[in-house]
Amino acid sequence: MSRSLPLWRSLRLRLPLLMSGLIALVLVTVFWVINREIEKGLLRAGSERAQTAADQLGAILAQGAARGTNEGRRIASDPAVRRFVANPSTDAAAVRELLTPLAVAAQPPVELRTAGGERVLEVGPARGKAVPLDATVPLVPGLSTFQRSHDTVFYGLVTEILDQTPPANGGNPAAGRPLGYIVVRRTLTTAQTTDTLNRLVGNGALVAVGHQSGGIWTNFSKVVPQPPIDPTRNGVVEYRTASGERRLGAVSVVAGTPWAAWIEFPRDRILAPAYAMQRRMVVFGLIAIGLSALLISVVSARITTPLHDLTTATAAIASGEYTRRVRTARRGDEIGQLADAFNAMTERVAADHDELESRVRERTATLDRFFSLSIDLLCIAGTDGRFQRVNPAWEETLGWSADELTSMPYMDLVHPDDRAATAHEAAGLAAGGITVRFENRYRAKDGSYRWLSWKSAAAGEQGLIYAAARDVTDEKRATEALARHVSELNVINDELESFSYSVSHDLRAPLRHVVGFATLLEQSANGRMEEQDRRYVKTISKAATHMGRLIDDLLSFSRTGRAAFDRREVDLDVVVREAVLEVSREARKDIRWDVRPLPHVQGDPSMLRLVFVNLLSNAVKYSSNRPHPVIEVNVDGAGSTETVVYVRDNGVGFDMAYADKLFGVFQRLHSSDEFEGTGIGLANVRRIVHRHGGKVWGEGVVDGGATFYVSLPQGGTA
Amino acid sequence: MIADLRQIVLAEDNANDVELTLNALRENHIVNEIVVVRDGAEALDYLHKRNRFAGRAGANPALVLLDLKMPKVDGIEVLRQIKADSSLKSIPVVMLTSSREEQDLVRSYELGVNAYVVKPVGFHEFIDAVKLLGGFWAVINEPPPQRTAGPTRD
Repeated sequence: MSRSLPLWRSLRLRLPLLMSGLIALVLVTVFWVINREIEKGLLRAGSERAQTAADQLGAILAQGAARGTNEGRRIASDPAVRRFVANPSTDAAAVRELLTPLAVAAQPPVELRTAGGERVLEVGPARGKAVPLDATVPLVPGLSTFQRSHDTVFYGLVTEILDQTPPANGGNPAAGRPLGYIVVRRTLTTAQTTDTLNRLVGNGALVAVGHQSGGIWTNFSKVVPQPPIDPTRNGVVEYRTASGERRLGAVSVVAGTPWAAWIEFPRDRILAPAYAMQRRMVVFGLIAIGLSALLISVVSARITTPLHDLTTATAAIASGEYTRRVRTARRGDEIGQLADAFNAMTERVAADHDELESRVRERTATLDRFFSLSIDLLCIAGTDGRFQRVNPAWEETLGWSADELTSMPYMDLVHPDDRAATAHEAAGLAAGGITVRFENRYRAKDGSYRWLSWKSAAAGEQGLIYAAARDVTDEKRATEALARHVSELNVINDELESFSYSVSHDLRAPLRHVVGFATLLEQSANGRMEEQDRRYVKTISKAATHMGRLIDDLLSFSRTGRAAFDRREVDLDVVVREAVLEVSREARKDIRWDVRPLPHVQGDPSMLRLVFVNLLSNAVKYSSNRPHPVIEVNVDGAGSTETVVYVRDNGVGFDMAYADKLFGVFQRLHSSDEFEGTGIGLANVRRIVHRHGGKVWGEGVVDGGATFYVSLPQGGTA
Repeated sequence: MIADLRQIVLAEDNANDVELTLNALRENHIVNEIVVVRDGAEALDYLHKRNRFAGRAGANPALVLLDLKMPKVDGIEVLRQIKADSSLKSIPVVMLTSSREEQDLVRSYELGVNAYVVKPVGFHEFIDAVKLLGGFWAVINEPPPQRTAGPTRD
């Protein structure tokens, strides 16, 4: 729409052209039909005129011939003529008198000839003079064929002079013997005749007479070739001359003669009025077409100009010129309505556009504020490897100004070791990928490098890269420090492990030797030792054995912390039943075990078994001096998030003031003289329960029994 | 009858432990000849009849008691070589050690140990353990038939 329409495609040209063309077509058709009718009429009239003229000419000739014939017969039958011709020596005056009426001025003289053909008398006209003619005609009665002498065409009328009057009843004229002949010659080629004829038929016409059977034809002034017609029949004939001219003519057979008259006109002359009409019509048509084209262009301009305005206005609006309006000129018609509607629409579009722009401005301002406020490094990079826009966080982090950052390829700032990976990421972004947590180092203005963690994506048609980076240098250092600490810890742990290993192997061996050799000593000195000595040796054995147990418990405690955690669903019923079996084997048989149904939990079965073995053996141990020991295992209300199981005894209990010491390593609330033990059991219990993400605590009353609670989370964590 | 009793090999570097173990065996009236080697290398020499034991007569021992921690070649390695050798792998091997470390247990059973005994600190318990071991492996247990000619080795 935005490009301008070429004129030849515009309605402003096309409409007038089309309408004028249509009008021209109609006019041409009408004119052609009219012209044809006119031509037909003209041709019909021309034919009639030619026929009439030819008939008139024929009639004149016939009349002249008939008069001559009758005159000749009357004179020939005159006795004076007979006498003279029979005897030419007689006085010729009377005969001359008789013959004078036949002689016509400007015609050859009338001759009187004998039967032998000798001319005996020649009579000229009474007034004027005769035209001499050195040619004659054959002495055959009647009208002769056309003869010619030089340029003069003539015919003869020969009348027989018979020696007796033919019978009045019309008997055979040949009954008489021919005495001589009256010979009348008439020239056809006279200027006078031509004038008359011209007056009769008009200029350009050809008038010709000739013999029906051919021979000489004349146009009354000279000899002419016989027209290409059939001269024996009346009628209209049209032909084409050798030069291509079309001619129209009519034949009239001259009554009483062997002649035929022919009058022809050039067809063009007949049609001349039609041609004149055509010219007028063409002029009129051109004027009409010109006027109508003008009118139509004026009318169509009234339609197309507003359309054109509308078009250019639309193009203007399409290119963002929302203030553009269409001139309406207060038109009430459809175009006026269209223009009004268009203006209204433009108004709306402009209003919406303004509102949109203001909203965009608002949003942009909001985004800009966040862009400026962001702690993270935000940027837009082009495909040319340069930043197009960076936020102030860049300068705050790296020290480079925005101008410095946008004026150099960002790759220059990337640590040389990170460039290959950065280029790889950029290529992935260009291919439509998204970068998440990509890390590289950027050089700050002070020469140091900062670790940046990127999240970026390419967007838009120009392939701009939108990226947010976070300075993770500190985190990175912290992580590195942490990793260092972890590896140090691992080293320490490994040392600890090898220490445990040594303890278990190397430390226990000498103890075993102490006990072993003390026993051997006792055996070998059997009977030779004082009671006192025997007690010493026993004490050595006992102490070393206790130390061995301490070492074993300590190692077991250490193993509990390091052992792999095997989480699964555990049926506490089974675990506790096994623990009871194990503990009760070496316990008093009169203990009443009160074990209630227990739920399933998530945990490590062997560790949980160790928990209950410890708790139950404690319960057995500390109720061993009771008359009726009762040990109860039950659920203390299973909540939605945790399961609490307790082990209760009616033993010696403990003072709640020392409850915090219950679970410490080597912590004991009773002397080993009272109750044997290493002080590791409950520490182990607590460690295991903690590894399950649970809690353990104890409640007790001195001489009132103790209750130990184990709370395990429903989901359980390691 | 006595000629039928095959030897028991005790691989132990600690002289105290050797004495205690021999004492315990004696205490339990086990009369098999006890061959004491002081490290893993000697144990393998004995089994393969080479070096010090190049000319030794007799068949494979009835039982090998191995300490885990020994100089030169440790007990685990000796066990591995015994169980990897087609002429030796039928010999019962018992780990007799101070360690109850899980990794040692797992490793030993993976290599096909016949028993794993942690030496108790108490001497009486130790004697009981040795009694059980010796009684079972050296007396009760029927060893595989002795091949007179083992596969020749270079």
